[in-house]
Amino acid sequence: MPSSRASGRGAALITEGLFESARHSTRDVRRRITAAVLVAALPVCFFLSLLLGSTELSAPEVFSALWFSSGDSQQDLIVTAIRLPRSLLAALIGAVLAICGAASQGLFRNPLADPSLIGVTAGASAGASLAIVFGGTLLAGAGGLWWISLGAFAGGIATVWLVYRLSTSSSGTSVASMLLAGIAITALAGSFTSLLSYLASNDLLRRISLWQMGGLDGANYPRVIAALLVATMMLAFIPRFSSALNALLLGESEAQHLGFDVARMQRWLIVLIAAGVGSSVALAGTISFVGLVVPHIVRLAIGADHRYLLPLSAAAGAVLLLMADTLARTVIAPAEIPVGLVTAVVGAPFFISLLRHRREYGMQP
Amino acid sequence: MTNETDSLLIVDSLEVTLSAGRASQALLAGIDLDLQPGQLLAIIGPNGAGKTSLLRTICGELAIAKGSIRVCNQPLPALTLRERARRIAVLPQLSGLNFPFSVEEVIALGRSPHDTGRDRDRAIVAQAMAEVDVLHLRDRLYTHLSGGEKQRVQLARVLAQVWPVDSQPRLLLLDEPLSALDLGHQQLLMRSLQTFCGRGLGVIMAVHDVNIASAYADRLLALKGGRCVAAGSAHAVVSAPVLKELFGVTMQILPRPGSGKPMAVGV
Repeated sequence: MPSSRASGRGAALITEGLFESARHSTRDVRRRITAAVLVAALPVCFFLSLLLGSTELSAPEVFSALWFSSGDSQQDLIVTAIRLPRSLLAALIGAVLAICGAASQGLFRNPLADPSLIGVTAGASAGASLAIVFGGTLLAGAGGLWWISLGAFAGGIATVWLVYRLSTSSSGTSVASMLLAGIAITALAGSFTSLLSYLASNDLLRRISLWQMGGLDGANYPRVIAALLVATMMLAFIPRFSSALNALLLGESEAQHLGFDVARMQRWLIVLIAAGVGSSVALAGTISFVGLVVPHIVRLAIGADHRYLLPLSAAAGAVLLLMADTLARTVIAPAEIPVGLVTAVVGAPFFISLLRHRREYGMQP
Repeated sequence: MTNETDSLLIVDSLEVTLSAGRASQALLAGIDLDLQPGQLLAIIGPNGAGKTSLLRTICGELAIAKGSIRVCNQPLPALTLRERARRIAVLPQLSGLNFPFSVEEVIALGRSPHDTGRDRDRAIVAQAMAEVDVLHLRDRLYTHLSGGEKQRVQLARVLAQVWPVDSQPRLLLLDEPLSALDLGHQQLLMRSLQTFCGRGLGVIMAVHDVNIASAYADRLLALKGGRCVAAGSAHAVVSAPVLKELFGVTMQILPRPGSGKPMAVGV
């Protein structure tokens, strides 16, 4: 090749490089705005969730309870023993559900693949019920929570694996078989859980049904610590697969040709999603649609790049579940509704509207 | 002045079988190939001749039953996925993408096996976009493009993957890259492939259009039933008897105005 042409190319490459690095696409700007909004919204929502509730507190009272708590006054107790662990749990579980939702949508290459829609939540819930009914002495004390988590994790991993096997072939994921497998597994896990409820004693029955409705009212510091561990694990490991997930959206063989070990990534993500969804089911019950709605909204704002989608979904999930839980506690105060009902009331119409635009998600009309 | 060690790709008496249960069926048998950097090889043949199977074997997707494939003088199975992706890019026939990636983001995925740095990658992506005439679409959503536009974006992605940044020779495998393109973009694509070949890229493409293969390829390989029917220059392969054997049709061969390369015309 003539050298003058080569150097000309080189110079063009350098000038283009300068030009390109100075260029900010609208995506860059939107990413920054979205990140800034979420970083601002998270502490605001967190503070509101401490402030609002069946007992009226003022902002200075909440502040003093947080910073100078002596643990004596009633206000201090309400903030530090009831609202603070609950808000922390809501934020952490929201983050876990949203990042798992985003990861599972990437894994299935379909924006409708929410863990609660494809049966993972139901499977985890059946696993948890099984652990409650047959746990016996293991349920007593602090170990009980880990035992139930283990059951939920096992139920979750079995369902993700099964749904993935049923719906994914070398040519891609069939949305229809994915959703149908989800329906079948939800029904199966549901009847299994009902069967267990027949066998269960009154006390166990109550625990099982509380799980099914979803609720953060069982929040305490051991649960917060468990949720913190799970959330740290999710935030530490799932984003490592960002680039691989981006490539996977093109297709399995395309990702392979771009140098990613697809089989290894799939195994890891299935385990991580099952662990995240399973432990959130064990810690806070069934909370559906967070994993569907949050990544979808974030994707509308910043696009599908998982390097930004995963962390921002986690932040938005925390914000959303904090808001949903505050709503659940205040709408009919002093009574409260399970937060799973609030997310379902918001999420189900959202899902239906997504179905109306299903052509855009690779579904047959 | 080339010898075997300079070869980009050597395929030696390759055999690939498809095993379904106990029965195994030969997909490819007795294929030999030697591609130098800068050469463009076109594979022609009827539907089901094994064109796609050959491409999928060269990129490591199908297992080799007998024979060997060497890339840059290393056996293909010895390369890691990452090393393979840095040398070989593949454009598949169909690509389904349901997520709202922008055109620029899709093309930037082509740089993911490399670590040439963000600024360099952005420049390469911009040049790849210009090369296949999608620069004006860069901020559009991939999901909103037409079939031909999607095809060009995927092409830009694989061009970005094998973009010449050092002396390392690279290989581009294209499966029916022209199928969704209009006449103007077909010509644009073939011209830019020739430019890339001039800079050391090796290209293997499966095409239906015998005349495009004859006009642009340095060498042709005619496959039928997984076996090589003819191989070599356009004059050796694009002949009435070979086309009769491949497609079962009688064609007349005329010299192409200008280059004199053979051109098949129906009678």
